Amino acid sequence: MAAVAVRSLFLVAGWGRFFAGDEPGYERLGDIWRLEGIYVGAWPPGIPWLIATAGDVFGHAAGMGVLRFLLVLTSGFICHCLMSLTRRLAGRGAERTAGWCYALYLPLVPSAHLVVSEQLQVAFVLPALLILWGLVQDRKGWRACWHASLAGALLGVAGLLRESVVLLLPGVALWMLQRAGMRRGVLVGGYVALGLVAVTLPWATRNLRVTGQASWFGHSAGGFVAAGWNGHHADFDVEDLRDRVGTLPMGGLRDALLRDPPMPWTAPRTGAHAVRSSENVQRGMKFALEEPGWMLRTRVLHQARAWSPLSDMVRYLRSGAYAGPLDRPTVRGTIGTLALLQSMLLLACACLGWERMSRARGARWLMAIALAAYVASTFVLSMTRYRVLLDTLLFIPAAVWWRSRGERRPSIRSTAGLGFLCLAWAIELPWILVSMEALWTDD
Amino acid sequence: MDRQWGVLLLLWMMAMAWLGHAHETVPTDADLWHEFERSADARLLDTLILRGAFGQAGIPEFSDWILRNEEWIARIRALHPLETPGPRCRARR
Repeated sequence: MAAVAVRSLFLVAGWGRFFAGDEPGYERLGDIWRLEGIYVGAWPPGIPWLIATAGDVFGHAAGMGVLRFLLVLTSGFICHCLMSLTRRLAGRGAERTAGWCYALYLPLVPSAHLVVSEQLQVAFVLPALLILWGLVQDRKGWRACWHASLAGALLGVAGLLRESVVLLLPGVALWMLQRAGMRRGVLVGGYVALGLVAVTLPWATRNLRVTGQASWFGHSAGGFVAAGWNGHHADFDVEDLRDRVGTLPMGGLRDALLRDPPMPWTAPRTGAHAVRSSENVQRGMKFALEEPGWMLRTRVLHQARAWSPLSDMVRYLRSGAYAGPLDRPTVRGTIGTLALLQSMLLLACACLGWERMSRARGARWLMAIALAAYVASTFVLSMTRYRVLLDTLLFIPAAVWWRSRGERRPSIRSTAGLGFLCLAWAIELPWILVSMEALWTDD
Repeated sequence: MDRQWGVLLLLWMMAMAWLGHAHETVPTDADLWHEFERSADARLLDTLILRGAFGQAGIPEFSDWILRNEEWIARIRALHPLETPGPRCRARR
């Protein structure tokens, strides 16, 4: 209830003023689908389909409003799943802490009322992980097969909303094999894959007939590669602040890392999505092999951005997405600073709590799967909103640490993790300073 | 355990058969172009664009084709009301 209440407050404050992120793109694809009866985008079809369907039933503007309201409600469901998962992995005490922290965590609020894919993806991935966790613990026989298929179907729906689910699958497969043994692991994994295919097969068949390619989710990988493995550094989170960071502390480091950029390659603009996407990936890989120095330097910036405390909340407050009292500099600045501190606190607490999670309950495996998927994506392109799934799961180790703080000193590995975070935040310092200035001033 | 393997295998075979059938019945670009010329269905136009079919297999380049078909220019514009300035576009900064 608290999670829904907090997000509802911001939904009301921003009503009629949302224009951020990928939402306009999804909206346009949804409307084309509704008006022409065909999906023309490279993204997975989930969100455009929802917009098209809601537009059909309620009309365009009211449909978007209904979707926003439903998305806010899903944050309650996500909070419930997170608490269930925390109870299983870390006990009852940590469950309540994780639930409250999620409810009051401001950086995740914008993804709850913008009609974009991040929050809905979490709403399907979390129950899938919950089922998979139960599966590797004790379920056997037909019950295990049924649960595995259900988890696969949920992952399939999540993939139809956001393609990055694909990055979770190798980790899930390894987990199954490690925890359940080779024979049972393959059987359970086969049912997981079957559930996933059952959900995505109609879409793949449609793609085959329409585009001539049997893609299971979408073709967005090529777009990420064109932005991330290229002769320019894409920094979508802070694009509007680019000219203001050079003179600030640590701004010189960024300029030094981005000196002498190589000639960028251009992505093909015509042709089928599948062909263009694979062409982009090939060009990007060729570029990465030819320019290892530039790739290494920009990866440093991408990793710093991956662990940045500058969330979407700071970004949207800065751009005036919320109306009324929330748009006053003092209120905006206070909320933005709180979101920044919450983000830092979550990452630091999760880093300290990681080692205190029970090895026997499979908690570290589950965290490692989400972490590996996220880190893999950040080697292509980083934006803080890609961390929505990981941030949601990080409440578990953070709650574990909070409950057991003071029991023993942090280990060397935890301290090294904290050191890495501090380094990333130091590289992000100019963006943090400029964002804070924009929040607290009235220009 | 063996029965679970059997059911898994059977279901996978059914899924692959479905996909195989879909593969066999995929229309070619030329088929779609002829169908579009016959029916003037806007969805087929989108399909041809999505496939990158214009300029291939006897299909004219899109720019050549659209210049000869002014009624389609008007029709495409009418299909995209979001491109016309409205309250939402004005609110966007």
